[in-house]
Amino acid sequence: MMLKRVSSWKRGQIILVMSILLITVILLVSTIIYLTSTQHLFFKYNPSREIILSIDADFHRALTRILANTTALYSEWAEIDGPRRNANITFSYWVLSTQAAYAGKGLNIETQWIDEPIQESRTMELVVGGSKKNLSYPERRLQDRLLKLFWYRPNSISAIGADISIDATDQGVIGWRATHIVLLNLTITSIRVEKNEGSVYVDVVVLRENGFPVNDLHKTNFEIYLFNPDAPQGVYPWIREKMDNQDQVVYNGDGSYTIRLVPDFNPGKNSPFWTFYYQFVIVRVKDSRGIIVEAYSYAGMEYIIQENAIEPYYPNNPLKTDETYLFELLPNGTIFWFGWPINPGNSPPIPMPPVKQVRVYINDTSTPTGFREASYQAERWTPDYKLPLFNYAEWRRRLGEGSKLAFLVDYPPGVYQRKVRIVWAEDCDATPPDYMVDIEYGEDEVRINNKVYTMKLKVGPGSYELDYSLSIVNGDRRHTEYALFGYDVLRFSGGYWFPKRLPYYMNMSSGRTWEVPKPGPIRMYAFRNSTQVYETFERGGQLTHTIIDDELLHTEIISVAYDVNYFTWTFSGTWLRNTNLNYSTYITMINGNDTDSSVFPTNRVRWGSVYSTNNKYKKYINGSFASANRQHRSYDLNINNDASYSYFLTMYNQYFGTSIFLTKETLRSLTSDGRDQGWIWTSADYARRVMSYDSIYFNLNNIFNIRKNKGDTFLIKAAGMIHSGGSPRDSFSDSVTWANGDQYRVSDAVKIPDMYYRMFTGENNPTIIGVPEILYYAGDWI
Amino acid sequence: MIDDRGQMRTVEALLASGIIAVAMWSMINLTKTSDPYSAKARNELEKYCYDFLMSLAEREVFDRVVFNSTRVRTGWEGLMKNLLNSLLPANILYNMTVFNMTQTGETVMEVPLGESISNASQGDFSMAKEAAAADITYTTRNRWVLKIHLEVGRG
Repeated sequence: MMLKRVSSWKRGQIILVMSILLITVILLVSTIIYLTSTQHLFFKYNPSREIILSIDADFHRALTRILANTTALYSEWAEIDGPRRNANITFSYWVLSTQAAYAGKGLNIETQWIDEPIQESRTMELVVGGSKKNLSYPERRLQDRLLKLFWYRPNSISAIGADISIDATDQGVIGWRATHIVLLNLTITSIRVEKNEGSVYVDVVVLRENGFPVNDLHKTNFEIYLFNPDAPQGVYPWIREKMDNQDQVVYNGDGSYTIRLVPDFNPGKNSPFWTFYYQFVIVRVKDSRGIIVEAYSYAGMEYIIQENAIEPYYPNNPLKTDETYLFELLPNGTIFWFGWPINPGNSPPIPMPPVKQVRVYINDTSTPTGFREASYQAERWTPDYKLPLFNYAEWRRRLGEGSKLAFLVDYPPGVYQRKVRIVWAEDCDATPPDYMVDIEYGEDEVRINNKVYTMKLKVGPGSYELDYSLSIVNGDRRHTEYALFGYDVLRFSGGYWFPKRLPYYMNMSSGRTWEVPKPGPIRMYAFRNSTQVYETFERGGQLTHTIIDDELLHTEIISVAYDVNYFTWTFSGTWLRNTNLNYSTYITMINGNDTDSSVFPTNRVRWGSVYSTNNKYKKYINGSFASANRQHRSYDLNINNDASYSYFLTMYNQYFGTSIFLTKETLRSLTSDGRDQGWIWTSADYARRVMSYDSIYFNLNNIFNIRKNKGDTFLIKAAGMIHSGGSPRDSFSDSVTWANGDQYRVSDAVKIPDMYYRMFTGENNPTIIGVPEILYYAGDWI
Repeated sequence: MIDDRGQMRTVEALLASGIIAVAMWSMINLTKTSDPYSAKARNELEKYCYDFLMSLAEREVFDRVVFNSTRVRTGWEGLMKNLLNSLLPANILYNMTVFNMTQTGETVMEVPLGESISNASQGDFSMAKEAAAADITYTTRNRWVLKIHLEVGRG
């Protein structure tokens, strides 16, 4: 039985079962292989790569947009704070927006500003008219500021950069990070002229980030300015080339372009443009991304300015502590002192950087670099430079038409030459200089403090009832008043009213008789320009006034500079009709008031000195004022003695003194009618001390009229100064030269005005020594 | 006496056949779960969606189509529709929505910028063989951040 059973299992069942098992195994294995080979196709698709790449690309795009917008705004606004604020806001908005846009995907996006270098320190070559200049540029970095602009150099860069890191935990991506830098790099490599064909060739290289060349620029991407040295006064000399058919832009490969320019202002064959001024080029490039960069072919200039007014006459004199000039530099390169140009020949022009970029340095051997920053400000005037604009001191703009750069240069004892560097900073985060002149607007007066003195300028409607225009007060409250131009005398029932007519101006909105805008960093202007004249007359036994507006056009400017002991005043007048004058006074100095004789006696001056053309007493007439109404030097007014005069009048006591200085042209104007005098007297009211320059003196007994024809002009330039005082000695009496008071052979006090008056005459102006040096330095200076 | 050996053979054969049938049925069911080619096509469609949007962004299409200078162009949706019709294959259904990421204080909201641009209805998408969607952000030249949502389907 057992054998039988075994035999039957072998024959059928084993084969069948084995077959079944084999088939099952084959099917299972094939199924597993199939599933394994196709399993990846069933993975859920994870788009993290695309998402991160798209965010990364948009981050790069956002940075590009921010840089483009910032460079455009900065170029227009000429200040970086607003554009930078916009950039930061846009950057934050982008981060918030991107996080919101991908909120459902579990992303964590973080950004960080970086301090990566955007250009290593390097030396570049600039070829100007065949002359090679090797320019060393320092390393430029982003400085954790999001973006940086290094402009106004032959090599200029606009750059932005930041890090982005993304964690996509839901998608299994952790720690993805990328650094993005976007930039536009412009280098002026060569400038040359082909005079015969009337062309200027400018070679530039334009690169983007990673040194990739920018190869898609056309004429419209370039904005180029050339300097027209033949531009007439009042016409801005920087001319933007139209980039018309005459001009060409040729791409040479590797980001190099050659730009051929035919100056639109057509310089003549003999124009200094072809020999000197062609080298001053401004190139602004805007690439297809909208990023702007601005390069100048030069970085500044250096002058040696020599003073000729004091050191030659008072060498190494320790009293020479206040010789400070306020120079004014115009865009065409002309430097002025008190309205006189001092440049002998071609001078480098000032380009058009934002005001805050400008820096003025003067040499100072006590500093490590040999230079220190000088005080300066940029101003804006009318194109003809007749008047400052109301917002003349606004720094949020470029130097341009009507611009003037004012800077102070001092000459201590023993120093008669100064090197002056005028440069424009390349870092667009440069800040404007501090505003150092204080101003306070009162109801009737504006008080301007320049550190040395406070000028109280009478600006209220009642100022025409006063007999002075302004007062200067030093820190010890010692003061002197100055009366400015007036003319004619009113004879009325009570006596005489001097002067009958005063130049008049009224700003109806401010109620002020002068325009006194907010001052700049180192200078304040008060100015007015009007055809109105305030006339006093008698009606019914009372004095009253009227305004006449067809007699005199008058333009006057008072300038107060920081930390100097003088102010300047310029008056230009044009007679609008034929006019007869019986009196005309240019400027008067008055000291004393109702209290100082008893309360502040040290405030009251005691003596006066005249720089006289009468050589009887070695050119100076020194005398004492009286305690009651007296004439000391005058023609035809009670007395008729010597009233000759010259460049200055001064009054003083032991503690302080004040002076008036005149220019030579003003002296000439004073004497033009042959009725002039240096009038010195003591007034009836409070025995005030009065010294004035009159172009037409008043004759009590024989009132004469000096005719001024319609169209006649006159110019008054004067300075007032407050300084140390002194005492006269060695008294004597000579009523011909000083009546009603003591006269003195010597006065210590006259040394000071004698030392300084030449600064203001125009005869001893500073001069520029040699040829101004054109600077190509890279980086900033100090 | 009845010989039952033939019957047993028959029963065993039937049982074996049943086991084989069950095994085959199971295998067929296992392999029938999904069509790998269909799944791959949907994935590729989503990738295509991203690539397409990024390509548009790289060419600044959104600046050129949506904006006119600094303003939103009136009727930009029509321009965009023409563009999508010409760039996408004929059998692709699409629906694009552009959102302006609008910031109010510290909050940013998605505000639709105009109408959605589409060549199909929602019903068409539900009947599509494959469908996919993608979102990207795009910062415009006037510094708006747009979110672009694109849905595509294959009919």
